[in-house]
Amino acid sequence: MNEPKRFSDATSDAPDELRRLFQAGVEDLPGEAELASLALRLGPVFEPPPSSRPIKLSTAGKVAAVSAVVVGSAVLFALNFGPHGQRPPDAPERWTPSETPPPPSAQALPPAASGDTAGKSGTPDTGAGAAPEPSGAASSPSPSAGAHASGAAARPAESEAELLERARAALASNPARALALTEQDRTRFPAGVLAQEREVIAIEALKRLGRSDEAARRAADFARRYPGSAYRKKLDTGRP
Amino acid sequence: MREIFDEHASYIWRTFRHLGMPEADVEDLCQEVFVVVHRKLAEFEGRSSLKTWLYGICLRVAADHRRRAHVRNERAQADPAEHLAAAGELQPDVRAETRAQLQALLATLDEDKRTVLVLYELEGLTMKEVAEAIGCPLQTAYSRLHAARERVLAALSAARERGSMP
Repeated sequence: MNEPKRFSDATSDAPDELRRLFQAGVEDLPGEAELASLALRLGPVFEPPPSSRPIKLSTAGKVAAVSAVVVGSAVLFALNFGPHGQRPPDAPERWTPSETPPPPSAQALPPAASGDTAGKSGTPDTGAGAAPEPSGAASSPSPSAGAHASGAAARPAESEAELLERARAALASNPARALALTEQDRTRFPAGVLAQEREVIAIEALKRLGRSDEAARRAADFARRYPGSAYRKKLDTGRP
Repeated sequence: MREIFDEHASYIWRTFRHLGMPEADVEDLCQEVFVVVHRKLAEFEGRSSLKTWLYGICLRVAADHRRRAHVRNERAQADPAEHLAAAGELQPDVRAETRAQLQALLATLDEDKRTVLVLYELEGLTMKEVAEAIGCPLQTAYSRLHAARERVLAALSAARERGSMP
């Protein structure tokens, strides 16, 4: 069976108007801001699974672990095959709606960007992290400064995703602060899984600050370091 | 997971748009997809391609979203006007009117036909991949594609006659 030429194909016999619409549909990808927002919400998901980290157990620990597995298996068996439970067939590659995860807000992921309103509406960043940054926003603070210099801004347990979410939220109203927060992130999380998002936010902040040469250099560096990035296409277009 | 995000996130986002999900819900739906992928990736056995597997998850998340919205008596589908507004607000560089016109055409299709058309025409899947992602026989996928294309062409003609398509 031959596949028909797609409407968007320049050589298809589709009406010009239809070809134009479908070509535009193919190009209708999300913007950097949308992708970055999604990535920040997914931050913990990007972490390597705990099972990939070696775990050393003492003899006592091994006994305890085996016991836990035995007890856990018995409980699972009772739940799945007991009088009140029936285990659904396991079909790993055919995910079904019954496995729908709870709404994102109910999961152990960063909450939907509470700072979004600042980023989207232009409302000033008035949160705890709104303390003024040093004028040299792009300068890297010392490691300790990353955690303490901005006082209340650096909550002890703040995750990489939360810190970058604050940076993203500050972009519209205070790009200098957004840039400073990305530098803080670089210091605190040098091997963070959200390094791409940090760079995307920093590049956008530089553009908004009128530092277009720096933004272009950093975008070029991004392209070299992350050739397969989801952001590449948008960064390449380089809005002024 | 990072590699999967980099390779596929933009296309998953685009798929939800073209399936008619409300623009305000697309990010949540994409997050649901990646949470499922994170949970299920270790069980993925490669019987289908990763791409097909991901689109299968997308379709189920979209279907479940429609059901949930139905239960809550909310809209499960965006209307073209919303896409027009969203495009204007979020992506000034995207031709908002074009997006609205495409959505209007796609909205003339039922869910089955729209899904096949989106996966083949806009996502660039082969028909074999489309059938795998949907979980239907290849012949059925072809039938739906044929019907969808006919319907879209008819809708385009009707729109021209009404003067609502340039």
